[in-house]
Amino acid sequence: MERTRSAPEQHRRLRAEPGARDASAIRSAPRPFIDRILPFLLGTILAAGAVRGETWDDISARGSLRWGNDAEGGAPYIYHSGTNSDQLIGFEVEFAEALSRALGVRSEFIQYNWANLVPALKQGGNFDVIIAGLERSPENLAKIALSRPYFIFGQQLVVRDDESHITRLADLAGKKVGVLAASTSQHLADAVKGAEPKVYDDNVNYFRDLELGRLDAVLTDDPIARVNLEKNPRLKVAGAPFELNSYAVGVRSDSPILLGRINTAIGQLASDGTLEHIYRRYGLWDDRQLALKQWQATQSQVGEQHSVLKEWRRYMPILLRASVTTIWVTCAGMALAVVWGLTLALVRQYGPAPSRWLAIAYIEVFRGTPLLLQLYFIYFGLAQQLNLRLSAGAAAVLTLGLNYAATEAENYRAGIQGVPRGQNEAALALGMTRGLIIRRIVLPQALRISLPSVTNDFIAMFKDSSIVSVIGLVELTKEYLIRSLDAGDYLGMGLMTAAIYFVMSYAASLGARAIERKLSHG
Amino acid sequence: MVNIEQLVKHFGQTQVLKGVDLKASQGECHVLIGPSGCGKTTFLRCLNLLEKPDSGRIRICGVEITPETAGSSATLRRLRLAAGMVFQQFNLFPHLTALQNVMEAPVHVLKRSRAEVQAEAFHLLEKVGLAERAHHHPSQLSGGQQQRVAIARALAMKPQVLLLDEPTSALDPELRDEVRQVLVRLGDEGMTMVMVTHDMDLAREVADQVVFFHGGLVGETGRPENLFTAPQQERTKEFLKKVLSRRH
Repeated sequence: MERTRSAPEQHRRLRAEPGARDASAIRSAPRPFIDRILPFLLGTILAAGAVRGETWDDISARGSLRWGNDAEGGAPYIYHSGTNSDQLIGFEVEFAEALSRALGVRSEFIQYNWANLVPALKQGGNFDVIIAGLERSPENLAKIALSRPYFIFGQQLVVRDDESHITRLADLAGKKVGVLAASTSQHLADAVKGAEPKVYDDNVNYFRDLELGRLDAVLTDDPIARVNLEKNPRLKVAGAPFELNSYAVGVRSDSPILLGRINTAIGQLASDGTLEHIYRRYGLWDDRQLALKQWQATQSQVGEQHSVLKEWRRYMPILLRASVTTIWVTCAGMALAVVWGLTLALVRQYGPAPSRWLAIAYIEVFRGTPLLLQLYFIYFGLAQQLNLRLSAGAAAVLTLGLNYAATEAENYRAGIQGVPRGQNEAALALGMTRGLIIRRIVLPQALRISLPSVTNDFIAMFKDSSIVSVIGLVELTKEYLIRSLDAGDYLGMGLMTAAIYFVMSYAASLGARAIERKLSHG
Repeated sequence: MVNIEQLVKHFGQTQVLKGVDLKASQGECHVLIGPSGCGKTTFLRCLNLLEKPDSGRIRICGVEITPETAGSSATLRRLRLAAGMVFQQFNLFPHLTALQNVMEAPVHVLKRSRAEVQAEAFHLLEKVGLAERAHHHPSQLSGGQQQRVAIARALAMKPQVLLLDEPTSALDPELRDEVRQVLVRLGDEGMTMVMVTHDMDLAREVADQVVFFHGGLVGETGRPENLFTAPQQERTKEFLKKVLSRRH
């Protein structure tokens, strides 16, 4: 592990370690707890995993290059072969294999959630490098080191076949455009005045939504557009690719030797035709790729890690705006859950036999299957099979409402059963009918009994509502992910986001307690 | 007024009522006494069909019910409007005030005007000595007060018969008196009552007829002055000896 390093390298390495930086900060001046000490404590814990030497040492000792990617990335990058579903293929799989061969080691694929690849690598994850369509963008260069490009691509607009008005970025004003989270596409779409960017976690679902009419256009990397349009005659490209960019291998910034070897290897694969050979097989070779051969090494700049807490005035309004979505989705979802849940509870308790069984079946199915599955089913499933095209907001409210209704129904049932039998007898003896007894005597008491559980569920839904981000609704958690990926500070952004969630939940429980107090007598 | 013939009731294999007869005229108060488990509470609950009898005939104020007609909701409703009930555990509606408890059924079952009912309800609460507690919830009232509200609630429906299931049993001894006084006055005013009780003082004060229950049958019936002082049957003697000696 002993290796000679130049002084500036040593210095940079120290600065890149959060623990080391914050330790000096603590000595220097008294600062607020949240801003300084907390990041230090957490930084120390994280740094314990992050302190490792040159990655090349691990690779050569192990004899394999562990590269991180997300197999959900899809064609043409990495996907399951049609003939053998256990086998992964794609141009990045073959590039990784060629690169490993050039380095003299085996290629070893590590599955990792795409959105978290960079932070995971930075914190010393279980892979050595990232080969996953990682853009050579200033945002990424600020966080990790990047190799010379191995693929050059542009941005491509995709529209429905019958669309004729959208041909350039500027045409997107007033249009809904699907983009991948924290990508160049998102930054470009965000900058178009009047455009409505819808953010997705993957490269598949926005094409589906475009087809279903929920989007007017998709802005994406042109290899993705090319492959997906091949399979889909209802979509077409609009205009030519623009805003050239490149994919590069992500390397930990404390491993200059590995970076150098990878750069040499890519240069070799570019000149000896290996890259051309691979890319041609996937229909991806074009003249732009010739530039891969001529690349001048410039020193990668690793920016200093900074805390967004200092810039809270800039980020807080953005997060608060996203929390408005969280609040309305939750409130509307809960309103639906309360009404529908009460109906289910009454049918289950008092309805005739067949309807009672249906209510029980509903409750068990919705309680017994994942919320995420229900969301996909309602948003995509209904649109595909029944042509029922709900907006993302409507699907989110509907799913949360239908799911929580099952839980609410059980809360109310417990409440109904908690009303003493004597109440029913007293009401019967007064000549009250069953409907009257339920409405006037049982329900008012049952609802009071179940109120604390309903409050709990309301608060839980605030947190569960984060799941709707998967259908492109930017609520608080999604905004958190996007912004912390951009700013490179999961901790500071996380503290701000957590504070907002806490305030919302606490306000809800204070409100509920006030209602409980008002309803309890003596 | 009240005419019960050969009432039989089983709980599973156990025959709880083995053919009970009872006849009460207008204005009479019949008090059922007897050892625990002798079937007197079940008998009372059969009178307004909180329990369904297996056979026999119930006639209360012209409403006649046999097991065959017991399913008809119209008959059931007429019977329950004719016979009010007071429970051992009061069973007031905890989410409503005393006044609202009294007004609930006249307003929502009889659909009478709220203003008219409210005036009557106040009057009834006054009668049981609780006018100033009208706006309290049950949880803010003592047991005796709750039972008096429950009596007012039953009276608000203007029943022709009042069924009372151990109205003082759940009360501390010092609270029983206020309920007793209300019931004595009701008896004096000519309310027809059928009451189950273990409270011999209450029985002595309000009963026109005391009915001794034993093993699901009526053992002995008599006026209180006769039955308490000179019971005819051995079992009655034994029972009275036990409950009267327990008092001091």
